[in-house]
Amino acid sequence: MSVVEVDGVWKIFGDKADEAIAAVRNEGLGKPEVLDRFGAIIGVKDASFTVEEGEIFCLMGLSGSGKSTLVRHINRLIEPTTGTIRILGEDIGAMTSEVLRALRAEKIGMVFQNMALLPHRSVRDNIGFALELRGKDAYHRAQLADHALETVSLHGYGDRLPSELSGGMQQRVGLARALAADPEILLMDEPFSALDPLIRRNLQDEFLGLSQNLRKTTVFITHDLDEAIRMGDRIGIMNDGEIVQIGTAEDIVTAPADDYVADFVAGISRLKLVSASKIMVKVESHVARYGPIDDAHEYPTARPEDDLDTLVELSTGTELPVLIRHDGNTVGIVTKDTLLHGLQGTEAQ
Amino acid sequence: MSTIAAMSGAEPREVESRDVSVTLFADRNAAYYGSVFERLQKGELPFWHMNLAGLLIPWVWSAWRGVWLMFWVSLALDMVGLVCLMQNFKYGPLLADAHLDPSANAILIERYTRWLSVYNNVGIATLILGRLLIGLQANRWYFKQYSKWRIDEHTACGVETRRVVIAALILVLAAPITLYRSTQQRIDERACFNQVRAIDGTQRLLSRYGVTEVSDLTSALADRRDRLVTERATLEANASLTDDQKSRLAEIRREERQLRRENDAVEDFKTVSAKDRFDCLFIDDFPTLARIDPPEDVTYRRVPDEDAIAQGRSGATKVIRQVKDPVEGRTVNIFTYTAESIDIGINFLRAQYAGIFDALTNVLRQSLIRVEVAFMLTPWPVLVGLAMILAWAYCGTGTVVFVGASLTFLAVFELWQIAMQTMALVVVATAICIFVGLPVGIWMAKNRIANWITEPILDVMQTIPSLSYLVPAVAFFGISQPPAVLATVVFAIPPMVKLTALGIRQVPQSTKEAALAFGASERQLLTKVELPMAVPSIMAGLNQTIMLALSMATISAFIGAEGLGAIVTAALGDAQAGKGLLAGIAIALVAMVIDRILKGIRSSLSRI
Amino acid sequence: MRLTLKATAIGAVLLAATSAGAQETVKLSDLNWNGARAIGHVLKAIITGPMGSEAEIIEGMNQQSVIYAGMDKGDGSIDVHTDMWMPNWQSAWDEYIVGNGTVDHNMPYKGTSNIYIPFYMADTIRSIDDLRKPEIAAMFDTDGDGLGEYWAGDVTWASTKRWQIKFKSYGLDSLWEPNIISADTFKAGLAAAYAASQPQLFYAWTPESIHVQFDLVKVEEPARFEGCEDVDLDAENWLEVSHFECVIADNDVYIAFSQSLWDRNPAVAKMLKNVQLTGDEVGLWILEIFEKKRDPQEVAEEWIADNQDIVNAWING
Repeated sequence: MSVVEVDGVWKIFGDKADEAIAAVRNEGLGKPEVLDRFGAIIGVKDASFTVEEGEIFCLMGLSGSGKSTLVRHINRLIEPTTGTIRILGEDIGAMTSEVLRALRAEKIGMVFQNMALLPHRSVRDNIGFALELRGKDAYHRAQLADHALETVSLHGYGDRLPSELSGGMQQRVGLARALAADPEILLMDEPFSALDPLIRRNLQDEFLGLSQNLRKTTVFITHDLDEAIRMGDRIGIMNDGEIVQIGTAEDIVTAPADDYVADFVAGISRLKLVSASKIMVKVESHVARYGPIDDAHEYPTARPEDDLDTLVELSTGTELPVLIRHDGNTVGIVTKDTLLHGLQGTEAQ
Repeated sequence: MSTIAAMSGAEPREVESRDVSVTLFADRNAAYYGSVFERLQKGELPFWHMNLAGLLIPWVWSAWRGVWLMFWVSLALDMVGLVCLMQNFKYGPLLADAHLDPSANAILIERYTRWLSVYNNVGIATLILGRLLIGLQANRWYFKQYSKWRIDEHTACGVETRRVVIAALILVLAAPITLYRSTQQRIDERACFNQVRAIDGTQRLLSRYGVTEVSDLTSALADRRDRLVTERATLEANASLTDDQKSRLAEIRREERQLRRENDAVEDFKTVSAKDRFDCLFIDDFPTLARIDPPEDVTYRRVPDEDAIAQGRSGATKVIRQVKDPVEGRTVNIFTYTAESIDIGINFLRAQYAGIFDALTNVLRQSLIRVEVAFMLTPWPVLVGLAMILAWAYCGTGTVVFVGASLTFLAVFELWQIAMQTMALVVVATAICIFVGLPVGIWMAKNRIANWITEPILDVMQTIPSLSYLVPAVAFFGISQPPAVLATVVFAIPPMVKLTALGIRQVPQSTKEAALAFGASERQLLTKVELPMAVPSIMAGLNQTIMLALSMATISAFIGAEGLGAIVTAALGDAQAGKGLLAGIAIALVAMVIDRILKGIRSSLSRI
Repeated sequence: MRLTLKATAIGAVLLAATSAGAQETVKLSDLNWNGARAIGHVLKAIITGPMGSEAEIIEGMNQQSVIYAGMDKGDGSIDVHTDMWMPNWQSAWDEYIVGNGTVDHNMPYKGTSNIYIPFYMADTIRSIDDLRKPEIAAMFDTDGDGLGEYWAGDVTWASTKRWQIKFKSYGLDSLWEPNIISADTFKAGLAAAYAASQPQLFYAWTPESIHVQFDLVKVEEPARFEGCEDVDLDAENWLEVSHFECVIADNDVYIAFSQSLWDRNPAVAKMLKNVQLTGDEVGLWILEIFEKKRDPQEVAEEWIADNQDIVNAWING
């Protein structure tokens, strides 16, 4: 069972939403035509994906692509026009508002791009906010909040006001607030976008570390492909409200679904992304072309899942190609040519 | 060339070169305007460059080309000039009259001659200079319109006969009547009123005498007068009269007076010329549209209900309705009709819901008495000490000194007790403002329809002169403090409501979203996020409310509210400047003391 | 003819204002009770109508001490006080008419001043003696301070102090307190109380439209006797030194006008000096203007037309 299941979700802003959906389905209308004909704006177009337990799922897209709208469906801050969302197997569209509020407070934590801390409350009271809403007493609130503060390495800042902290620290508080109630799911809406590159990097690393310990199921929104690749176990790329491709970073870089994605990934360094298996020439075709490999024992070897970085390392200082071995068998071969084409992302001749 | 595409913004117009765009814009005579515009852009157009059409036929040219600003400016300039020249028709006849006896009217002749020469000079100068200005500016304005048209396609362009027709209509409707007005003397303020009265009166007489023609009416009146005169002559011929005859004689005299007035009305009616009628309808005040019968003169009164009391329900009351006979022949305009209807409505509500109003008055009075007791029975050193401690806790030393000095002022001038009465009124009024204003403000912030309803009401409450709702307040709640509290609430509540709504609306959407995302209910959102974050704004509203309530103290004194305001009002009555000033300063000091302390509290709150 | 649109050339008006003062606009007071207002309208109509001069009622000019001071100055800012109640304004009389000799007056008409209740209270209260009963005073206590309230008049009126003196002299000041507010406000309050049949005790006078509007009953007061009235309103402690324990004598009501009018507009001064009103006439105007709600100028013009002999006698007298 997936932790988050999003199935066929549409969000149309406007009065004639249903007609608009029908028109898009049947006639394949685009965004401008829908706006013209129905005065409606497509926010999310037929989005479906699942997030497994402990997985970090990145939703990546440019601003206006609908990723922030989509993530707000997961805790029903926005009602879908049609489609279902199941959290831990339960359809949240069918929940009463009381149950839904309990779900938001206990099962889902959310981090916002602009922190959205309450300026009139101390850091500790901000972190304990969700607990307070559920009626937890002040003593336990403070304990849990201090624990959360320690988790994000802000020990001792509990009595400060948010305005006394730097941007990076404020976002740590935001993260601590999301973690305080120990939810199963984290929704991160461009959490690090507003920060300086250096601090962003720090926080990314820290979050990755945290994530490995806590194993929170995370939906991570970003407009930065590098960030998506760094953070995401899997990535969903959105364009004009539509999820155009879902896959691992490697899938997306090596096999972009369309020109839009291809454009996106064109400038990405493939060294750490692409594995040997993606570029190697199968040993059978190599043999068919050039005959059997002699002196195989002299060749450097690598595993199919090793990345290009490793292959480059092995290839330097020798003229010999690299053999790719799996379970003791040679499955493929990477020559200098193949390697260079692989780095470039072009097909070997 | 691609310049146009670049200049006209995101959507390239199908215009290939500037020349083509000028052709599209100007339509007729494009070559001329093309070269003019080009020279303008290059700065080569000499300042004396003149558009001949602008000089000679500016209204037609500007309307035809859709340069409406120029149409109105040229029309206004020409009208000013013409109106000046028209003064010849106004003062010419007067001057001629004066010349009939030059020696007696030397001053008049000198004055009219001087006025006329000034008017003529100004008139001619305006006409000539105005036309020159329009001629010089025409192409420059036209170029501005062209520049605007290139950005905004809705700007008028080309030439259209339809626009000329509209301009002609405007001219026909506005110009003749304006010029005619300028030739006429000021209309005597009662002339039009008397005119309406004569017409009305004659209409009534026509129906009373059962005739349709005014000439018939005159003869009917004459007949009646003849009969009365004959009868009077017969009676007067008698040496001695019985009592009956004496009273008949008195009646005849009264009837004769009545008849004379009726005759006057008919004579007046005959002299109403079409010109007089026209003047009254169009160049005087807006004409009285209708004179109608006044509303029935009803009074309502709540009296003991004898029947019910007889049946054992002691203290039972009922409302009785008394109708007075209408005043013969009285007609009123719509204003009076409505005003009297409102009076009757107030009277009805007061009698019908006497219990509710009395109960409300009583609640207000009781709470006032409590607060007044609290303020007036607390010894002054205690209150002064409290105020100074508050100032010390929340504000600087300067404020402490100021508070001390202000309160000493009240004490030294023996205004303490009276100031405390004012304070009691302000406190009760402010409390009501908070209890009513806060929920209304929240409602207004949350609900678009509420906002739509409340906003204009608040604007009216803020701008309507307080004296105009004092009288209804008295009508419902009697005299002295309770209606004063309510009038003060009406005056002082708008900032409380508006700033509460503003404070809540100012809470960032993202903060509210975050609270919802963590499971806040609507109520929790309000109490834990929106209200706390709106506190600085609400405090500002509270501060303003208190200031307004204090400034209302003087007005309230008009309906018998006691306090510092009463001294001001009394001083006004006795023309005692000093007393009034001192009491006024006392009000200002009380206001400033409260203001300073509240500001201190506010800033200490918003530091969080 | 009245209806001709008068060609009041601005020039002619200006000329009039600057040349011989014979045509100077006469400024009339705008006092806040309706007898004074009615007289003001009739005077204005006489001056602007048959006399062909100019007159103006200065709107809001209702502060009597200001009016007396203005007439004393004689600078034309205010010329006529239309309804001077004596002896209420004895102080002004002594200072301006007797002392400075700057204010003149005509022959007075008679007015009466009494304390009244609405008819539905007539069974409860007949005379001043009834007011001494605490249970009756309690009926009139609306502000809960244990004292009954009565309306003593406007703060600008001399009569207001006289009523306070009388209530003290009758020994009522331990049970009653004065409500001092403007006549208009009081009338609004009275109308409200009347509609609900609530108790009201108040000063009223004749001639006044209040008697037509409401059914009122006079509270009987002791007859006048030697030494029953000893009033000094100018004293600092006026309430303490004064004494007044009988019904108020019929008032003499005058038209007072600035002596300077004899120089600035002698014809009008002469007319004002000759005016002789009666309470009935004033009562009639009040009825027409305030009860039948007719246009005041129309009422005034009509009365002048019907009483040309009287008016001519005033003008030419």
